[in-house]
Amino acid sequence: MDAPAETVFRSLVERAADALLLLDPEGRIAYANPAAEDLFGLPGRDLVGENFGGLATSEQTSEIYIPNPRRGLVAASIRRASIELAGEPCVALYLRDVTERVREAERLRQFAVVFDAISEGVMITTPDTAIVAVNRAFTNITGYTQDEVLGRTPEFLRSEAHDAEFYNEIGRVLKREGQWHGELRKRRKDGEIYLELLSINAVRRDDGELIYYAYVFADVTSVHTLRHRAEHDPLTEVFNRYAFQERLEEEMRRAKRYGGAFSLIMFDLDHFKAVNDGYGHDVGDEVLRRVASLAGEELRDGDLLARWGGEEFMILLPETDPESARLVAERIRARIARTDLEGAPRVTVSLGIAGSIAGEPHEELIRRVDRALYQAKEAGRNRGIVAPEAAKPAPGE
Amino acid sequence: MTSICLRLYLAGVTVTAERAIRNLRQIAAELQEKGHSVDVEVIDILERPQLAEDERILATPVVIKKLPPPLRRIVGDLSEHEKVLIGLDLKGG
Repeated sequence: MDAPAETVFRSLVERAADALLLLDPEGRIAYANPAAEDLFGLPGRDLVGENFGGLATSEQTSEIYIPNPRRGLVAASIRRASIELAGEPCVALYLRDVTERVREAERLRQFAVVFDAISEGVMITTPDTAIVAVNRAFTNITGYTQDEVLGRTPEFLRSEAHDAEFYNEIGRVLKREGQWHGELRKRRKDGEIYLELLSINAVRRDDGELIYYAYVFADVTSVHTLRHRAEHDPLTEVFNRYAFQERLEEEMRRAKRYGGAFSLIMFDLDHFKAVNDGYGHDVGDEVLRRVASLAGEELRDGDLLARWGGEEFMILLPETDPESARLVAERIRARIARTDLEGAPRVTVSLGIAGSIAGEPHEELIRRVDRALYQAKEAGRNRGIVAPEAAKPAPGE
Repeated sequence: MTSICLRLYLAGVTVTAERAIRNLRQIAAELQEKGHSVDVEVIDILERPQLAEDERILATPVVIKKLPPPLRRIVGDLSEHEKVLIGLDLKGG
């Protein structure tokens, strides 16, 4: 090699980002470029003359670890070439710092273990909702394997419980806020409907561009069933007395804080004992179920119907004055009075109505609505009576 | 019959390190079949950094033949058994 060419090659080697070591046939370092000094954390004079040794490593995985005194352990990929320099055989080693890549791979391995070990289902989609990854719990919950879902959009999990507008709204919230949380009913592969508690989060690149949506969900069907059982009357499927009292207390707190008012309707089947005695308890039960269902159909969103006891029902009407409550009560009375019940006699109900008074304890409110109901019975049944605001003793009391 | 002493230096549990251990055990078994007595010691330099400095370890995994002389070292996952044996000067026996 002539002198100018050697100068050029030397400067190329010295500026290379990859580390270069030249070894003599015994494995001693004859030359180390500046990148090699960085990689080993040693000045060239400490490297030259050191015994690096031979290299025996497979082609595809040729990673070595270097105890760098300044940086700690660094990982490097290594490649070897036999060359001849000035007529002497020697070995060139090319080393590239892959510490970051190795660390990244280790982190990914950790995440992969967690991904498949957690009990929540995970689904990753592209921005146009094509599925790119699901975990083991996804398969356990939905019944679909990864191969069956990759590349598809998750619409096959939808049940008829929610309409297209419901999903459009989720899409709009995601676009606007980057996340969505909620409960929804989904369909497993075997057709069974399950209740899912779902969080969706947008995954963005550093520059803000949306790259994925991450869905994390739990099957809460059994939790929901337990909660439902604890709060509902098994015969009529409306709320039970315990759940009603909880909601009532909540509503009283809300009314106290925001100064609103609410109303209660308490109603009772007229002559129910005659139904039970004349037609049997099975028919009596069916009448209770039908009456609860008819009353429920006359309620507005947010009203809450509960079975209070035997043939007694209670309705909580949030943000409703007694006059509006009276209209609701009248609708219920009329609906029940005009409806033929299959295999059972027509029945009527009597209703008491009471509006909340600021500062009144809930026991007192219930006493007033109970008294109004009693008065409706006394006045001839099949009617509703609004309790006066100041509690007056009922006739005969 | 020769008494062979090999020391394998590693830096923590990595895929490469595990492969090097497996390869060295196979190589040792091959040597034992030929009637040599082989002593293999595995040392983690993260646990014993002073040893790494004393031995002037530049890169791991590295196997050093302490006995018989001459001292030889081979870097890598040791997957090429032939090269390891030649490099450690153990081919002849």
